[in-house]
Amino acid sequence: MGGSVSWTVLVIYLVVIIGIGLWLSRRVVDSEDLMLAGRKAGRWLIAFSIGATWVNGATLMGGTGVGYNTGSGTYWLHMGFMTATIWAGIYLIPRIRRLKVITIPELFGRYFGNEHRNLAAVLVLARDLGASAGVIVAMNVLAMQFFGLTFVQGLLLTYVFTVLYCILAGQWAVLWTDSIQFFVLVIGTVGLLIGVIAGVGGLASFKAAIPDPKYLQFFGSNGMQIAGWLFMGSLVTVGYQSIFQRGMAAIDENEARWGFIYGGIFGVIWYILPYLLGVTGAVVYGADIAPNMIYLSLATEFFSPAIAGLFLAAFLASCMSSIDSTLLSVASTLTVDIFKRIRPNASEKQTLLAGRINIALAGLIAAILAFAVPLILELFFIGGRILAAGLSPVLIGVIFYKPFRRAKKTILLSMLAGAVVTTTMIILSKRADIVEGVVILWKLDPVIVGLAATLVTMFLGTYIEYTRKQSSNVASRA
Amino acid sequence: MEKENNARIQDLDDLDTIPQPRIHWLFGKLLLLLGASLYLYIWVQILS
Repeated sequence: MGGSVSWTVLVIYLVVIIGIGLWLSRRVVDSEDLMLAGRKAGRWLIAFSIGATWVNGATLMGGTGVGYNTGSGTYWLHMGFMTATIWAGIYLIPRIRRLKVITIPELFGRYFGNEHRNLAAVLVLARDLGASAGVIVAMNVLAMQFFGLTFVQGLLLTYVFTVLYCILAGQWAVLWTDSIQFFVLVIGTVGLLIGVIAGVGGLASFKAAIPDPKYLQFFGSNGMQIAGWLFMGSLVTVGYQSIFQRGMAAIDENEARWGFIYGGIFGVIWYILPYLLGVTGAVVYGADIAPNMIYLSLATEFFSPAIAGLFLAAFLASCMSSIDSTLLSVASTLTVDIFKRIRPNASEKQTLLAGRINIALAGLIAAILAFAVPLILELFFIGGRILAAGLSPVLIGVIFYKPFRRAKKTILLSMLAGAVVTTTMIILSKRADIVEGVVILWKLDPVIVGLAATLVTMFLGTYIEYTRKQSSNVASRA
Repeated sequence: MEKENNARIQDLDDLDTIPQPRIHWLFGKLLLLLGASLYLYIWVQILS
């Protein structure tokens, strides 16, 4: 990959992001300011930050790569996330907001007990740490390819920049910087697409040069595959604590609702872009390109160093806006579900300090994970799937279904069943098609089987536990 | 302990009393039906 890149644009970009963190740090007085922006965020901050969180370096690189390999039909892979975001804004978030919790494990701990809380914390951490590490690896590709840094130097750079503004202003920094990064991302990706199409001689010559009809078939995947993706994405979203926390951070239910609806709609529209960029990759490079490198190659080979710098800033934005969200989610779990339990009488000042230290710690764990596990992009998907089958259906169950709330043991057992069956399915599954390091399970998604285990345990267990309790209550009254 | 637990669970039960537009209720049920049908469809496809 050739092409020179203007460092100035990238440095200005990073300085602006850190400056915003510094400016917003004045708003952080207590731990709730750090983790939930004092519950004072408006709909647009929520919407833009959700949009930016759903788009990360892995999806920008991976989505473009998958689009190049398989055509535009894989677009539906992401739609479960978006539809569930909209659904959560209308149905789930207004309910959960009334419980005034900060984390998902806290909810389980308060209503059902410590065992429930611990298991939920493990599932949330698995997903968030896996996702953070996955995006750190993607960001590192940039550091290594364009700045000539080693893997460890790249990790250090990523760590310092992302963790710094998070520590300074927590959720405020995440909301504001994500919103700015959303615009950088949209301008960068749309600009790149238009620039490359113009570069190959305009839309007519571009369309004529598309090598395979699969690239224009947005409905090219079969129905069962799309249904599987929708399920997987929806369930990952419902248990995704970073998104959940945006709902808690909103100033009121109405702002939360609209923030989620707009955020989901942004995602539905934006996700067309990586696939179109995949098509441009096929037009420009033919078979002569590593699919995951299409975005970075197009950005640096077609444009002047300053414009290339802007496109790389967009890539950086996509990574940072996802890492900061997941790190904050991990730090919230470490603070609320571990620190506060060990030190229940800790002062607000101590809790705030613990929150900031935990952000640094979360970054460190994610960086070590990224360093230690080479196929981290797989972990990204695996953590999400275990959470999707183990935690999400149970969360929906307790929020919407009364008898389930009365079946304490069943709740724990259902989470365990879903997580264990999904993990087993992932290990046993030999059907994974690996497309340039990104795992796309084409045939039978482990979530589908894990979900069955969770649902069967949920309904059967609730029937036994709740009905027994009811009948024993009736007997004792008699 | 049991009483305290029941009092807390009441918070969750109170969520069912949040007023919501009838269209939300109807749409929610439709979504549930759609989700259940899709899930069954996937299993029928897998098993056939």
